[in-house]
Amino acid sequence: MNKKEVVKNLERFRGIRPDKDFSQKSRLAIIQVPFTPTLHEKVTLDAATAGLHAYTVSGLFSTTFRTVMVASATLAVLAAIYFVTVQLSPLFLPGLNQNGIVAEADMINSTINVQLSHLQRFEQTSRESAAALKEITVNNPSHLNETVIKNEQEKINSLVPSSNNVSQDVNNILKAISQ
Amino acid sequence: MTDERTDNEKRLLESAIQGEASAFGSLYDKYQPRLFRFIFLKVSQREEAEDLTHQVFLSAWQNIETFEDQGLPLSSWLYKIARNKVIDYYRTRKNIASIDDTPDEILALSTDGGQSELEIKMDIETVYKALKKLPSDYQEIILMRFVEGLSPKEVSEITGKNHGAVRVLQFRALRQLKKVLENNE
Repeated sequence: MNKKEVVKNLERFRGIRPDKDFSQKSRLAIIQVPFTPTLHEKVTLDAATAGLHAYTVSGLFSTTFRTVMVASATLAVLAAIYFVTVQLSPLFLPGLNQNGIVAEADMINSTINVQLSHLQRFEQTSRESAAALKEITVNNPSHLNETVIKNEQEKINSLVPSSNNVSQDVNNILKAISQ
Repeated sequence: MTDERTDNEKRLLESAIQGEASAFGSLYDKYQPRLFRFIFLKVSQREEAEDLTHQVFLSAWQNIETFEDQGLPLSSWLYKIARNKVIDYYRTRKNIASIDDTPDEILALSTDGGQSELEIKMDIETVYKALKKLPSDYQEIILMRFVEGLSPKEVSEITGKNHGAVRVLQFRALRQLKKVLENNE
């Protein structure tokens, strides 16, 4: 077989074709992959073709470093939650008398309740006073009428002896005693 | 006509870079048979070749935005991805096809008359077996130059070797192939 024949036979390999069904399925699967351009992560040609993911410097920052940062932040938050709930909580302080705290809390609670009832009573009283004052100013009640007051004064005067009479009586008594 | 075709491919490529899947689909239709053939002749197993071809185009689609950074024609870029996928395949896989077995796809190749059909089939099989006995880089350059019909410049772009090295490699590969064929006769 000379060189020309060898090359001709090599060219016959061009008759190798992919299966149509495979081609259609593969095409469909590939173009259905969403096109998501990445700003930081780039698969370089050599890396992509070698089946490896390579990252640019910024890609490295945005992936590995970002992952480490997120993991660190999560751990820090968990540690903070643990510290606050376990270490700083009074329920976990050593030597703590829990019954005493509960009793003290009950006492504070009852004091607050008493103060609240006082406040409610004050509020009710002031509300009633305000209502009475309003009634006075608006309705002009009959017991404050001048004529009525004058009549009542005269009645009282007629019933109660006058001061002059009383003084006279006292003088008479004293005179009798001295004799 | 060629310029028209080039312009059309350029438009498709620009659209694909913008994320237009149908444009990439058209480029897939154009290049997928060639890439499949190239990969098949390297790995000699249809299923593996299909899998690798799929991976090549998937990588290309996922990284189409970086295409312009490479400064290569699309075909060279795709062949380069395919070449590296095959290298990776041989690096990691255990079940490599035996060089003594000729795939059905080779045996089923149609002939174009001239000699008797049987003689041609035997010649094709002989050349295939001789090719598989060559070192990987010799196989590669023969496939690129004589099966795929790529220019020395394209081969240079794909392999990263300079023009002179490509020519020397091609010469040595053909000489070796002829030697293997002579030994078989």
